[in-house]
Amino acid sequence: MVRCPSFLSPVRAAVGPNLLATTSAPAGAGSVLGMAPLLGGVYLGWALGANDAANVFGTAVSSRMIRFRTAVILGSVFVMLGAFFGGAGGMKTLQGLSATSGLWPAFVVTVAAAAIVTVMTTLKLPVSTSQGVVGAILGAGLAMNPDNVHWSVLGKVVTAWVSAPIGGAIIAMVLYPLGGRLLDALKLGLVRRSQVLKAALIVSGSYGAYALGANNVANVVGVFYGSAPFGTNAHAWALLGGATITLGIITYSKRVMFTVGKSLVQLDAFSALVAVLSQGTTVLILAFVGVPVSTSTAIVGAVLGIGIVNGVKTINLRTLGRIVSGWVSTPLLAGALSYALAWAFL
Amino acid sequence: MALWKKQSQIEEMVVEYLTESDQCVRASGEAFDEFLESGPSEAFRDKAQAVQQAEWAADQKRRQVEREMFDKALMPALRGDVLSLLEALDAVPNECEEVIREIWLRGIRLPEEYHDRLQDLVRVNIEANERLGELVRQLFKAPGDVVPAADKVVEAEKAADVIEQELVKAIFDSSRELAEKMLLAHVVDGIAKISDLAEDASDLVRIIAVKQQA
Repeated sequence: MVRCPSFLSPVRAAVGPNLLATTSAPAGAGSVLGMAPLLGGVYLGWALGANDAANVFGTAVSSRMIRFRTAVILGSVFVMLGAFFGGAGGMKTLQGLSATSGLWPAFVVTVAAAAIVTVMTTLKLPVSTSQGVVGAILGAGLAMNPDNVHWSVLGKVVTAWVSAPIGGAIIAMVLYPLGGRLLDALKLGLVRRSQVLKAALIVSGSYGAYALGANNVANVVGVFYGSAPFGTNAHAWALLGGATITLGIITYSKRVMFTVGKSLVQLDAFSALVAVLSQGTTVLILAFVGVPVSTSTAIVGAVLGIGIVNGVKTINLRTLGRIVSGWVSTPLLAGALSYALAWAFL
Repeated sequence: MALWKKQSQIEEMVVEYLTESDQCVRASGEAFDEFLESGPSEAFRDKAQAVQQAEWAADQKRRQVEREMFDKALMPALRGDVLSLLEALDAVPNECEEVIREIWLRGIRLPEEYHDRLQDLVRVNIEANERLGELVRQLFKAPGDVVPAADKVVEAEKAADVIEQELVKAIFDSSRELAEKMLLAHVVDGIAKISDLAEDASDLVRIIAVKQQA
């Protein structure tokens, strides 16, 4: 059992002694206040939806190839489907990282991750929610009981993090020339070609949104898995997580799509299509493996892959260095904040 | 399905525009022939009016295509390209109308010794515009195969350049008044510009085609 901060004692007394417990048993179920820690997950899901929808539809929407409304509808539907049908594996992996189950530790983890994600976004540094969450889980785990941190699972997670950009790059390097040859071989007329690319962008965006839901829902609700109100009902958690991501897509993704999309706007329709397809495939493969990874890292890898095919000189190494530094600092900062919060309050 | 239909509608309208443009350029050729034969006659005026009407019809068709474009049927980048192309294509019938109107309004007398080469220049213009039409149709059909058709427009423009230079030299080598020489050279420049504009439009087609390559 972990210490409860003294200032939370009245709250604990009001809602029952199990609420602040760090066991995995459902606690406080049915109580509105008892569900308060879930707000951390809602915040994280909202931030993830607002930010990561841009990785899927950003280029198409910001260059007005697809309407924002269409992107929101398709993004929301396919994120929910992906979360429901493919989201369970990642939740179990995150749970395996550290024995930090329980609503309040989960609250600390999600708030720490979301706060760092928000700060990094404000600083215009590339954001990886997955890395933030994993860093935060480890931070909280170390603060609460270092013996419960499962470093072997961390190895699997870090391998997946490295695999996401590399996988995105490799898939893009294969898809770009192959898809290009196929498109040229079809000898489509100017108008028909435009329409085919537009339809393909809609399909690939939906595919990317499915992959986003399948892989990233674990970031949002994985730390709550096993707790109240849904216990080990992965599908119920997935639906809740999917709904929060959808909330972010509906309410705040437009600005991010235009901001992020414009940094990729140099990509023509075909390159954007290859980037989104490569990202979606990478993320979906890693969802099957059961490791949540960032769609941001996968799409950066995919764009890098297209850059390599077009000639290494097209790659801005300074920007790449900035991106990689963001990937390294996000889990470290989230871990540090989570450690401090857990040490102080749990 | 409605969107697919709209796509083919745009393609059909562009082809209809090309037909209108071709009719305008041909009508200007007929009007010019009439002017060389009968001067500023009633028959010439009728043919000059036919040129104006053909140019107006081409303008109308162009606006119709532009209106359809606003319905977001194509991807934005391609919409911009097609609108720029229409503008470049439209410069050809506009210049034809301009040349005929100038001859009509100023009642310029074109000496008989230049008639054959002037008619050659007008024929080359008609040919350049005809090849430009084929090039644009090719762009809409198979953007990857436009280079041979674009080269044909360039060949026609080169032929127009040669005739223009011969005519300008002949005009300035003659013993006419400087003012008359300059006026005649101005008319020759105007006629030769039609092929130049066709070449400009063909360059734009090449750029659009290259942008489509994956």
